[in-house]
Order: sequence, then structure tokens, then C-alpha cells
Amino acid sequence: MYKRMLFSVVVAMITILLVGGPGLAQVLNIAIPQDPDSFDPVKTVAAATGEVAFNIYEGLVKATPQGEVEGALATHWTINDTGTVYTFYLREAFFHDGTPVTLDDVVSALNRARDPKIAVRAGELSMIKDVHPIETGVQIELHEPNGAFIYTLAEVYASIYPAHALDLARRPVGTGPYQLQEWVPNQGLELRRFDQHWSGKIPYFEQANFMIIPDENSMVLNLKAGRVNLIPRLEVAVLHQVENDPNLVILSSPMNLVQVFSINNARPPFDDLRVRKALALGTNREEILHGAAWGRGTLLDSALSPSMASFYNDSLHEVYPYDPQRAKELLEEAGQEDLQLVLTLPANYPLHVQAGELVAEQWKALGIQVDLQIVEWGTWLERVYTQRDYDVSVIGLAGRLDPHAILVRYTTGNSRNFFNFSNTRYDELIRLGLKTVGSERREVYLEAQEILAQELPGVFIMDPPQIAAMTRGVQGFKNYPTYVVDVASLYK
Amino acid sequence: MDTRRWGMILIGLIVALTILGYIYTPYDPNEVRVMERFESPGRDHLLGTDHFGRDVLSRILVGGRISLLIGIAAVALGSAVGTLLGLLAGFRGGLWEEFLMRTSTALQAFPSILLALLFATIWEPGVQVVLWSITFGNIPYFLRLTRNQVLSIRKRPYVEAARALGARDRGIMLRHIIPNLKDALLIQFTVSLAGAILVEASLSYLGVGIQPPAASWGRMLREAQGYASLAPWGVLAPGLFIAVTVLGFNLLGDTWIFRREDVLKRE
Repeated sequence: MYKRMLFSVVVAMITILLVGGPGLAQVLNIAIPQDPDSFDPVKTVAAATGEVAFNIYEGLVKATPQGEVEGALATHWTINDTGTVYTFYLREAFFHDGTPVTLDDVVSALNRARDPKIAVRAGELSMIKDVHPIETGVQIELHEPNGAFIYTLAEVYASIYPAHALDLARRPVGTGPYQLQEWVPNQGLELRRFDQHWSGKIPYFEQANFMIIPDENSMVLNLKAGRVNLIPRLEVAVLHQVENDPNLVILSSPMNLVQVFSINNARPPFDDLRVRKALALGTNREEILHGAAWGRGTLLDSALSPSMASFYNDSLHEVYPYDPQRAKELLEEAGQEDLQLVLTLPANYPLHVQAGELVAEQWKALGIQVDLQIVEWGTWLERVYTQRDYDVSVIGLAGRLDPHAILVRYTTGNSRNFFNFSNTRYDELIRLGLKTVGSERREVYLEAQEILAQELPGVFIMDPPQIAAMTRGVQGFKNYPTYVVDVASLYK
Repeated sequence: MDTRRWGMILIGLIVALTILGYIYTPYDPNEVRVMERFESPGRDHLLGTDHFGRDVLSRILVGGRISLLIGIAAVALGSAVGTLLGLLAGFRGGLWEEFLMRTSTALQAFPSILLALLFATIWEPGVQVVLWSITFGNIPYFLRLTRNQVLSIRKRPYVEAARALGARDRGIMLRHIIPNLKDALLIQFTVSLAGAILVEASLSYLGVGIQPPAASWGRMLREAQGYASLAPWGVLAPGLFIAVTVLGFNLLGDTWIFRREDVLKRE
């Protein structure tokens, strides 16, 4: 009797070992601060969606860590002599629901993305004249040559999904290496490896969980406790908590984000260039770099991040160097010795709030009365970004792959131009930038940046550091110039 | 020494330091010196420096005035309104009492913090949010206390006697009831003050209270918490001052209770 019991126990244990052992899934837990808003590629505006969706959706092309584009659902593409017709050749690929990717899917997805009645960013694809299928692929016709076009196809809104998909907002169907399994709003997202990915490569992690943790201190605690394996974007304010931990690996690189004190150019007295100049001359950016980013960021002088090396204008340091004396004189000249301003700060970004607190003290030294107003993110979007009802604010503008997408927001009348900046020559240059190529295009953007540095839609501060923190053993982390986390490249 | 004195001593100390803050601080409390950040307590900075290199002691000295002033003002306002309404409820009875008591129960069920978050969405975060949420939070306590006291005092033989002799409501209220309310109200006042200090600190900590660069103890806690492992003095100093102030007010309340008991015993 006793022997038989022992025997069955041993059998049970062996069974558990055999069945349970290999079945242990490789799981990666990633902490991100904000919830995605929607997984419908043409409806989303939240950066968090792009971050997660990068693993779920693919376009005809996709971004590389170097800031270039490479073929994704298209194996390759050709451009005609006039630069107005792009022909994309499709590869054989499957959606997460098992159906093959067809020409119809590609055409309908791209047409939906440029339909202003449906897509929130339809304007960014307005250079497209027509999309039509040909025998081996898809032809996209442009109104005129456009150097930025190919990069727009790597954005989330140009993702390809089945024409028959019904509820993309909550149930995304893409072709990426991972598919969405479950989404509990404000808590987390569970992604499962998609084994039929066209590349034939099977990512190491079978499951990836994006956990929504808004507080940076809790993120770090979770990382140290092993409940989180990767924080792709760590707030620099908590860096010191992880820096010397032998169980963690920290990777730091430029973020391709431009931190800028935006000035409402349309509101007096800030419509007076002398006042804007005074603010620029009175800003000690070194101190902000050290005080808010622990000296880890890169100072910059224009609306492009130095990480866009081929277009960045690096000769602008001396346009308005820190000179509080000169700043005071300018305020006097402009008759603004008693200037009062409200500095609106977005509460959920400690980096920007701290930069704001520092600059407030610097401007006070010029005799300006600075009132700080810390507002929630929703209020910030509403008041500063949409209604443009503010004096001065501070924000980080996320980088794109192509300079046009970044610089176009400073053109007169642009919907994202919450600076209310307007300069005729600048508008001309931005139009010109699309029609030129090579070194000529570079010259155009160098001059455009010079105008921004001199005319001051705002005071450009730094490209903050992008710090990724992960538990030792997680490898293959790739830093992109866009706001994404590439789960498929990670392994242990 | 008599342990009952401690309340007085602690509060006296805090008030003295706060007054000192108006006259003298070792440094400009808002002056930023990034290169001197997180200096540990020592000869240059008695309580160290914070993440912007600001002197913690100077900020503690000026931070106290906001806590104390808002606390006292809000509790005074809340107690005045609460007491008046309590007298009304206690004397008039009937529908008035019913209405006031139900309303105050509803208000009491609302934590001050929630009330403050509500105010913060109506107005901008700032001093007025703290002020009104403490005021409104305190009204029901004083209302209830006053009404209960009025009800119990009214039944006492000497009040009945006064009434039998033809005294009017107003006379009874002024001559007999209010003087007898004084002790109970004073005790509640100190307890409420202790609570107000905590509410102010919590609200500033949550970011809906005092706005930077103004220093308040709660705000200092919030800003320093991320660096607690690196510069613990940034958290300990404001935390200690909040604790001492709250303790002081509570002990002060105890002193009144003891004194009242002594008086009753003697009688």
C-alpha cells in the first residue's frame, strides 16, 4: 500500500517535470507610464500606442534604429524618374487572424489613412494623389516629388491591416511579430508571439506584458523587485536609484526629443522679438541641463535634435548665449522692465516641471515676475496645445525620422503650431525642402533652423537622455529615434 | 516638568521659528545653486540642500508660515460658521436641525482630500483649494459639537431656572450657553488645527495645494521623496516639522481637557 502510494507520487512528480518544465513560457515584463488610447492606427494620438503598436502593426516599410527605413510588407520599392510614382512590391505575409495580406488590404488601409473624414493625421499623407494596385504590388502617385514621403509610410497611421477588420481600436489585427492578447485599460497589455511572421524569425520572448505604471518611483521598485524586466524610458530624476545596482543594466542615448520653452508669439508683449530675445539670453541652459537632467542630456540650439546628424545645424551656439545683462537691456528697450508672465508646466513630466522651476528663478533675476502654473496633462493639451491660451510653457517635441515632419509645425497656420510662430522666409524654405534632395535639401533645413534660432518661436533647451533600465540578462535592446519599444529584438 | 506644558512648548517653538523666518533665513529659500545640490547637513547648510541646491533649513523656516496661516485661518473660519449653525440647530430644532444635521453628516462622509480634489478641478490648484477644503471639512465637526452641547446645556437646571424667570433665548445663549461651550470648542479647535496641518501637507504633497516655487512642508516632502535614498534629510526635515506641529497641537488640546477636568473636579 505504502509502496504504491510512493510510486504514484513519483510518477506524478515526473509528469509535472516533463509537462511543466518546457511549458514555462519566456515572459518579458515592460513598464510604461501611460495607457494607449486606441489601436486604430488612424485614430490614435497617444505616444503610448505607437510604443506598443510597433510590435503589432507593420507598414510597407518600417523604421530602423539608425533612423532609416527598410522594407517591411514591401520587399523593395522603385521610384520613377520624376520622383512622383513609387512602386512597392509586396511579400507574402499573414495577418494575426491567419488571412494572407492582399493588395486590397494595402490599398484600403492607405486610403483610409489619408481620408480626412476618418483619419486624425490625414494631413500628413496629403502628398498622395492616388493609390492603386498593380499586378505585383502597389503604386502610389504623389502630387509632386516629396523627400519626406517614404518616412511617413513608417508611421503608425500608415500601418497595414485587413480590410475586413471590425474593431481595430480594441482588437488590432496586424502582421507584426506580436499580437495583442489582452488589454486591461490603465493596468496593462499582454502581447503574444506571432509564429507566422513573414521574416520566419521567432522572437525569444513568447509573451510580453506592457504594465502601465505612471509613477516613476514605483516603476523602479518593481524593477528592483524583479516584477518588471525593462523600463524603456526611465525618468532621469530616478536614475540615481538604479545606477549602482549590480543586477541592473542602464543604457543611455539621445532621445531625439526637443525640449523647448514655447513662447506664445501672437500674444503681446511676446510678439516683440526683443522680449523673446531677452528670455533666450536670460536662460542658463547649462544649469537646466544639470539641474533637471543631471547633466545627461545634449544641449541644442534648434528644433532638431543633434541625433539627426545629417540635418542638424551645429553652428548656432552663439546666436543667443547666456547673457543676463544684455537681456535686461533688451527688456528695458522694449519697455518691459516690469514684465509679468505665467509659465504653464505639464505636471506629469518631472523633467519639464523641474526645468520650469529653474528657468523661473533665472528669469526672476532679470526682474520678470514669473508665476508658475502646474497643470494636468489633459488641461495642458486643451489650454496650451489646442486653444493656445498661454504665455510661456515647456514641452518635449518627439522626433520623427524626417526633418520635414518636425519642422513643418513652425510654419504659418500649421495646426500643430501652438507657438503661433510666423515667418515668410521660413514657410518658403519648408515648402522648398520637400522638392529638393541631397545636399541641397540639407542647406534648406540648415537655413530654416537658423531662422528658428534667431526669431525664437521658443527657447530650445536640450535633447534629454533616453535611459533604458533592464534586469541583467535582458539583451538586444535597440534604441530607436522614434517612440517605440522593439520587443522582437530582445532575448535573454 | 509638567508634561502638560509640552504642547505649549512645541507650538511656541514652531511659531517662534516661523516668525524668525520672516526676519532671517540663512539663505534665500528659493535661490537655486545646482552645483551644490544634495549637500549633506553640515556647517554651510544645517539641514543640507535639496535637488536644486536650495537650503533646506531656509525653506523649512518659510514653509511653516503657509501651513500655520492657512491652518489657523481655515479652522477659524470653519469653526465660526460651524458654531453659528450649531447654535441655530440646537436652539431652533425642527426642520432647521433636521436639515443642518443631515447636511453635515453628508459633508462628514466626504474626506477632506476628496473635497480638495473636487475644488482643485473647479479652480486651479493653489492656496484657495487648501483653504476651502479645510474650512468646509471642519464645519460639520463644530456644528455637531455645538449642537450637542447646546442640547445638553439647555436641559441643565440653571438654564431651566433662568427660563422660568423669563430670560429670552438670546440672553440664555449669550449668558449661559456660549461661556459653557468655550472649553469644548477650544479643544476641538486644537484638534482641528492638527488635522489642518496634515491636510495642507497632504494636499501640497499631492500637488493640488501650494504651488512651486513657494515652499511648504508638504510640497518639500513631495519634491524630496524621489531622492530619499540619496538625500534623506530632504524628507526627514519637513516630515519632522509636520510631526512636531501636529503633536504640539494635539498635546495642547490635551492640556485644555486636563484643565477642564481640574475645574470640574474643583467644582
